[in-house]
Amino acid sequence: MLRSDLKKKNAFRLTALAALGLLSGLLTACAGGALNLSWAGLAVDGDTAYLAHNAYISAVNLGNGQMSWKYPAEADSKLNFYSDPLIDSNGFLVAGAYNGAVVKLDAASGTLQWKLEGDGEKIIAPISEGPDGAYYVSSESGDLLVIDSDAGTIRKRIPLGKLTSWGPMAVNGERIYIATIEHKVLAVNFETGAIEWTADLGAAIAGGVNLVDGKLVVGTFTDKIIALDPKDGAMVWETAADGWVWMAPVISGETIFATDLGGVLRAVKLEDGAPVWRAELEDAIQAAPVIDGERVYVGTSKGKVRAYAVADGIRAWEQTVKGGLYGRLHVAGGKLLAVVNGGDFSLAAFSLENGSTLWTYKAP
Amino acid sequence: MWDTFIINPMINALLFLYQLLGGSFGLAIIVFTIAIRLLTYPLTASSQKSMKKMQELQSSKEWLDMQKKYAKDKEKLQAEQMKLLQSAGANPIGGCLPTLIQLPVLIGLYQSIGNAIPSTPMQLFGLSQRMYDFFPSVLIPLQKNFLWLNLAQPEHLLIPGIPFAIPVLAGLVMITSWVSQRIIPTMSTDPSGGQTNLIMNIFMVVLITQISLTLASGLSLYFIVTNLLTIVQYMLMGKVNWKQVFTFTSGAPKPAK
Repeated sequence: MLRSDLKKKNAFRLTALAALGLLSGLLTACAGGALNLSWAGLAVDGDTAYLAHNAYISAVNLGNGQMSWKYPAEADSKLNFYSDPLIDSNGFLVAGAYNGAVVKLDAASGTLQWKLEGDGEKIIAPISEGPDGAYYVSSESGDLLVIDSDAGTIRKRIPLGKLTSWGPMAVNGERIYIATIEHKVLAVNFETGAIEWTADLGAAIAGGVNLVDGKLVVGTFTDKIIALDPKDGAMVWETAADGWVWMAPVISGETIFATDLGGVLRAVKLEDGAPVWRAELEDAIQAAPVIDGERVYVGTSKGKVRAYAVADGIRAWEQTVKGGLYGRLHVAGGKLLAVVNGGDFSLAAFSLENGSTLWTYKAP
Repeated sequence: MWDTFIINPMINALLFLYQLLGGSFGLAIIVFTIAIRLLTYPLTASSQKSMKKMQELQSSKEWLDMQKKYAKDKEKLQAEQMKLLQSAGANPIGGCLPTLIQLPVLIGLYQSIGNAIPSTPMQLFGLSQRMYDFFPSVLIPLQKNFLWLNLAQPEHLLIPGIPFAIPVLAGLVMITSWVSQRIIPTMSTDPSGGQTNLIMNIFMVVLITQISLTLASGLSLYFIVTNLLTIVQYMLMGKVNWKQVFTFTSGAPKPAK
């Protein structure tokens, strides 16, 4: 009796302490989860892929999937890269970080050219290069920063009215087009910095904007693919999707290819948005497809990778990897490249012919 | 399982309140925290009832006499105390079990608030997979500003003239956490138990303050509201131990000499 009573009494304290331990463990685990904030950004140039993930930007040889260099040499806890790096017209790599910093590196060696500390606000959207050679950076501050590409200093700050962009901007000789999470598409004049027009699409646009043949094309969170006139932002046409269209649709010739979180890859006509064909992949598709020759390649958030014929949407092959595919797929060096999140590696190269995995790369 | 039955319903309840309250996520967090406290009130009340019974016993003549009688024989004292507790129908674990049952709800609420205020593409993608279909997607992006706070970011208030940022919310979390834990009369049956309570109080305050300093301020708002509700609840019950709030002693009854 005595022993069991003592056990009961101690059991209370032990249970309370165990509960606290469990709670602290769970809370700490959740806090730790915030370290991996997003999927990797990817850019490809020549025979090298550049992956921006967590604390590092790394250069990966497309031939064998081996790392050529990484920046910085040692992780800086304040520096986290997730947006697609820019390879500028002079072959330099420019990338924005979640603490607002911008770095310019020599793409061949990873040597730092300059580092701009920025304004402390996240840079999620890829950086664009203007016709004037300056870098255009949209950060969470709601301003568009114009950065001198040689000096690494802020040349101009264009207020966007607290609007922020998460996706690639589109550039032509006159304007830079910015699609924002806050439902608006803007056209900013390069010379004056003035916002020439604003189009309110009534839905978040996360994946940026594509410009081709006199049309701006975006995807929205109200399940729509929309084409705008770049001159004044007037709507040219819109067509329905099966879920949130995260990434800006991809254009090839006279056809637009768009994916959605409803799990559908669709081809529509650039001219009027009329459907050409659709393919159902069952899983949410955040990643933008890529077109190479006669095939369009797509990946899902559950690791499914498929190739379809551009002309009629007939499936050529399917592959599955552990994790999910995010961002934009690329074709380079005769391989399909995909950013993988939540799996055992960060980047995978697949055969264009049959989808077999050629190599995988785990970011440092 | 955890996501389907705990996290996702909570996130969607938050979104529902957000929509109902005119797009204020701060108000949604406050109302949601109050609603959860009301829903779990029967468990809290059961826990408090059990603790009250324990405290009544601890201040009884029989208990105090027992402490005198067996002052030199700890084992015997504990055995006799347990016998007395059993005969009075008080269970030392009775106050703890309802709290343990509430833990998953509290953890779920904590995770829901973190998931419902996305500040990165990955977090927004996660939210898209958790939102029920009937919510209009025009709700995105959710308005994260409440008072001076960005609910998706840790809070640090910049005051003109002061060269550094002040973590006001973390300070409030620390104070209210300490008060809400210390106003609860100790239920330990001996000084060492009271010491354990004190250590647990300090540990929890440090942990929660650290979380408030580093994670989204929406979570800090939740901590403050839930702490204030605890304080109000105990004040209404008239069982507040204010003396214990301002001391670092165990609060346990002193052993008889």
